[in-house]
Amino acid sequence: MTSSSKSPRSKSALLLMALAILLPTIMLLSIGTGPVAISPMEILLILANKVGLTSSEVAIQTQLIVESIRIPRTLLGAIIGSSLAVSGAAMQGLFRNPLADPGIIGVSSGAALGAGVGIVLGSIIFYEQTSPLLVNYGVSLLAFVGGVLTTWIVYKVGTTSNGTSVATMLLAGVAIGALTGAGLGILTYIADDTTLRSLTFWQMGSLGGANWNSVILAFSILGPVTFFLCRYGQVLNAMLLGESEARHLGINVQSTKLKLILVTALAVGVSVSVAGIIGFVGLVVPHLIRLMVGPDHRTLLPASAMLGAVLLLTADMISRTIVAPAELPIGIVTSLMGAPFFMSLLWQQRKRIA
Amino acid sequence: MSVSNQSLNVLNASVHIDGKTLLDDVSIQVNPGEVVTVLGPNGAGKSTLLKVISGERKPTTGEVLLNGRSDWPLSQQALMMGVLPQSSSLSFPFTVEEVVLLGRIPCTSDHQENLDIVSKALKEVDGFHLKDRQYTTLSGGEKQRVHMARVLSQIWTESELGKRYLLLDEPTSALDPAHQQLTLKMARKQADQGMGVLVILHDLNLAARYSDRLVILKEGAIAAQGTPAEALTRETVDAIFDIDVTIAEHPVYQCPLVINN
Amino acid sequence: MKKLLLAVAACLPMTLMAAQKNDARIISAGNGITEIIYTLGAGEQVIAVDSTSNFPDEVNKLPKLGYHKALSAEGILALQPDLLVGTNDMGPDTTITQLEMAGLDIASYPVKDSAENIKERITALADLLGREEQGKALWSSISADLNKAKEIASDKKKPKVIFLLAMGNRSPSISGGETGANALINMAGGVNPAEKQFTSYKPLSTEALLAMSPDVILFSDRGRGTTVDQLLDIQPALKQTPAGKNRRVINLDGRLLLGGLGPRTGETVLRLARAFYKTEH
Repeated sequence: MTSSSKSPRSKSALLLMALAILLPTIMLLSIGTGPVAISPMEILLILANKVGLTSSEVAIQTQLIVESIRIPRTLLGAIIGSSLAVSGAAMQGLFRNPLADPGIIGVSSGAALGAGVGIVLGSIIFYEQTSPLLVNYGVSLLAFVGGVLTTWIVYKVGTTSNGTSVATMLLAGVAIGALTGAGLGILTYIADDTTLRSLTFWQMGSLGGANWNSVILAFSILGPVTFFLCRYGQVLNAMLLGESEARHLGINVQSTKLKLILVTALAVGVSVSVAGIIGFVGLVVPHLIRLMVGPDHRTLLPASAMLGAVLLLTADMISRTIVAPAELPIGIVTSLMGAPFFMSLLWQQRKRIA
Repeated sequence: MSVSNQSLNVLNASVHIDGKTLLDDVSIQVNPGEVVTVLGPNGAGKSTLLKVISGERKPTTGEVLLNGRSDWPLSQQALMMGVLPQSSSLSFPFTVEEVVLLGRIPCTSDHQENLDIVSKALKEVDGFHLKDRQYTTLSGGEKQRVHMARVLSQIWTESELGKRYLLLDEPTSALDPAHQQLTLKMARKQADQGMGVLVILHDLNLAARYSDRLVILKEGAIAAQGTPAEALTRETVDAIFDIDVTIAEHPVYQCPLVINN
Repeated sequence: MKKLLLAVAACLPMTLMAAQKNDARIISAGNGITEIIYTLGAGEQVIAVDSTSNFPDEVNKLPKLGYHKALSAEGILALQPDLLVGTNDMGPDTTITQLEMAGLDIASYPVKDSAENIKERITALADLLGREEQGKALWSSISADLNKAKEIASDKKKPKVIFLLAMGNRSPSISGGETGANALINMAGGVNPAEKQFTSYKPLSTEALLAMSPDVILFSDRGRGTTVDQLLDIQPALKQTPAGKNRRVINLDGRLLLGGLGPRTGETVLRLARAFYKTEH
């Protein structure tokens, strides 16, 4: 075996290994970071207590902060970062467009509209008749339904008896984006002051609402979804050649597309409903991986999953410490980090074309 | 023409779309060891025929039998049939080797064996020196050869399911004359080693030189077929392609030579 | 005034519970709560507030917790408070649950734009903070002002009053029903022509505004210091209304309305009633 033929594979293995070490490190760091100072020793002690290794005395409040605030938040950040990044990588492969983002097929905007409807109409129709908790769950459910619904419409518009046209779907995604934008505009108009504020905050995304319930909800759906998507490496590699070519390589293109679109819609819809709109993770993470080890999805997907978690946890640590005791919505942090990166990507591509 | 489980057969295939007839009752047989070339003016239905054969498009009537069966699972069909499209839209920065490796997706061989096959396939198309280049930086002709190597590597090894077939859609369109010759020689060689080869071409002389049989389509139907000498007559070329030619005997090879008047 | 209140508070006999609360570290979330706490003289105990709390000016020196519906549990716990007081809108629920589990005392009260609700809030907060006397005093002064306003307005034809939120050159938003401004107008004996047409604040066309022909215009520019002349220059159509012709345009501190009516409602309503009925200039 020549060194050149070995290098991409060993590079991939190296990257996956590095990420496999980095991820737990960042997770521990995330558990250790926050407005309340907690030493790494205390955290290890609490974790060890939890597993039953030790039974040392830890201040109740410290224990509580670690157990019911930071650990759920860290787990939620990790799984959402993973699934957003993997979904992004899968969409880019499916659409053969390295700039595609789950948002592009209308999932995010549809979910946003669904949640907006929940927040605004919910407060008008059910105000004071229903518990706020029920309203929250309703908002989550509507966000998910909105995401799947718009994706389905876009997919249907783009599909004829000859198969799905990526170009049509992207254009339909733009149209749906405009439509949902108008829908949100109407909601903004009819919303009262308080509702308007929660609408805005929800759109900026936050992991602040993390608790064990949301962690369980997220993991039970996003865990299998991420795992499912990671198994599509070779199929997506084939899809990069084109749909006919993939078919000639023995892949059932139509059903693959349908599955990937639905699963991505599910992933983004659930993420959005649990943590609001968190942009750019699905775009930036796969790109970074491609820069490091090339476009092979067998590495790209699992590496994106891990780097996505790392990146979102980093963003969250910034979000909860930079303006403490308040929090900067994490969507703002990721956009601040992601948008310039996106611009530089476009800049590079522009040069390559020229 | 007899249907067997050792041949590729198109049986009375027709394709009608929106009241238009793209393919009109076409029957073709490709046997292992044969190079069959499909000729015809633009819009004659050549690509539609290829799509019907590869299973991308279901014929409105008629059927396609691959080694006697029309219902192969896609993953099994991929082991017996390689298809080279006219052009490919790959825009991700794979290396050439990685692109050719994609051809091995349907196969169950291990990585080392795949790499060996990829090297051999690249040598077949005079592309071994490109192995570590980034695909996106290649010229159009180089890309076409890389895809040829990919398709070759896909059906490189014999399958226990049945004979293998290579379908090439205008494989020479982006190539310089030397590589045109090389590509068709390679196709000829694959046929000689037991594959059935079906090629779509525009160049009548290339077709005459390398094919066992020609099928000439016009307006979706077969207008002429047979050995190159049988199919390429002055009258048929004039009737089908609307060009005035002289048909001569090739001075070196035993095939007709088409000379534009 | 505040010092006096504190001195009085120090002499009063208090229950043990209230005594504990007296040096409790308080976090207040919601303008409608914060202002009352300060007016009751417990401002010294407040260690942090949310972003809607901006009166009195002292609160702006305190750490800000962000919007009172997007509180961070850990951010709050890091400040080691004994008590979190807020409105019923305070949230999100997850944060509140986490804070409860951490053993933090939490009290929340409904905030509405009515005199009754102001009384309830003052009484409840005064009880909570062990400042019942100050609470009673505060409410009696507010209700005295409100009653005076009612007297001024009684048996007279009610003027048409609109409140507009000036936003630079763009069309101003008018307060409809269910707003603090609407409540103030009603309490001061005016009638808001927009009350029945819509709720909340809506941008309004010049024509619709002229059609309302208000006798008095209240406006808030969110503290940018726009004068009445500047407002009339920016929105010349206002000059055509009865209020504009008679220059009956009044600048109102927007902070009076944010997060519910509060302790300054009495004096404000009285000031407005006098302006509406021109009993004093």
